[in-house]
Amino acid sequence: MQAIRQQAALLALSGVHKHYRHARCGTHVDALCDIDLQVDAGEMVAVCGPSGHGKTTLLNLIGLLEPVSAGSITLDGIGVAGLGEPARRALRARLIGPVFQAFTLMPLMTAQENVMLPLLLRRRLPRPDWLEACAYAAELLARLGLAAHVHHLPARLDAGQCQRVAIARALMTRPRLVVADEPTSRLDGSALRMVLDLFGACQREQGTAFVISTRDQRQLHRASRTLQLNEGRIVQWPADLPRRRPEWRA
Amino acid sequence: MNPASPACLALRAVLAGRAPARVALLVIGLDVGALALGAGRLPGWYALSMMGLAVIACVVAATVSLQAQTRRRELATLRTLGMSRTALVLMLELEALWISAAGMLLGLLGSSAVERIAAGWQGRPVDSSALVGAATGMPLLAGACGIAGVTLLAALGPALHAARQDLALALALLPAHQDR
Repeated sequence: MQAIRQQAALLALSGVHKHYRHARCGTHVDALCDIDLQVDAGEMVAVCGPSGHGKTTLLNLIGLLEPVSAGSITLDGIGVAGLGEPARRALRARLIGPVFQAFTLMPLMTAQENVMLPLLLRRRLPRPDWLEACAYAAELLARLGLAAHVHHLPARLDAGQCQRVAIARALMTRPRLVVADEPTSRLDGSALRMVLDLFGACQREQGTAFVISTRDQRQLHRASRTLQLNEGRIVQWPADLPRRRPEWRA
Repeated sequence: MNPASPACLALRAVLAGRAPARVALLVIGLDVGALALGAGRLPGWYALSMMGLAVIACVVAATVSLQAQTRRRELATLRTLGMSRTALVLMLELEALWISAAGMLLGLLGSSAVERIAAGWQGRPVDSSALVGAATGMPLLAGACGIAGVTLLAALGPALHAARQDLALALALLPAHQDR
């Protein structure tokens, strides 16, 4: 626990701006303006706001999928603003577990292989580590209610099951930070509960931080903090959802 | 054209209603192609061989390009999860090489089949010099290497383009009208 405390402020955004150039008329669109945010280890921050007001752009920047236009992002003590793509890729693979809105599972891999994909893309693992990874992948799927679908291809899974496989894939490498875009949009009540319980366990046991874009009230209530984006700016920390301490600190 | 050639025989067989038109067209095409590429029997065989290779290059480039476009979200996911650009290019090159190798194998087997069909129509013994077994050693190796080289070169452009794609756009996380 002490180790986790010392590594607080896992993610820090300072004065972050992001603008795009409109492809047709050439005008600049300010997607994000002057964003300051700190996320500690073991914390869950929910990002909400109207569609098209910068939620996904913020997650892209935090997930190191694109560079900032101005400002700085520090992840695990490393400034990422000036890093090239190879360094960003290495950092992404080491620290971040992404959950995409569209799941994007590999169609010719089983659910378990999809979960293990981040490890398959890394260096060759020694056999004991490999067996342990297989067991951990199966355990993650089981905790998400997919024990019977471990060897099924994505084509045989419904949308909610695919979404849970994508969530398990993001957690497979025990990342320090999970960046998830609408990770529970296709889940029903029991599946959502399993996902949120697993998120909570990762927060407590591994100190994993979560930055999640969501509109789901049940998920908002589990978040340590909720920030509202409007026209690319953080407008409020809703009064009915006050800042809470991370679960592992409670 | 030689009236005893497979192409003429196939044409006659179609006109007489003894063979389906599609099979005859295939035989005619392969016979003309074999004549064009076959050991300098036509004066312009080198240029025609180059035409064949250019067609291979175009088909490979189009196939890889289409594959990369269709799978752009999948490729972007692989990169997001840790695959390097170099590894992605190598993966697409390897896939193109597999397609090319399958094409080479089908070509070798197809040439045998055409020779057997032609020999059957002509009522002559199969010319063993036209069969797969005859294509051995340096000529076969040189041809395979040439086609593999053309394949790798043709696939390189689309593969590099796929490896450089914008991750956020490819994952459909950005509206399409925005550019940076």
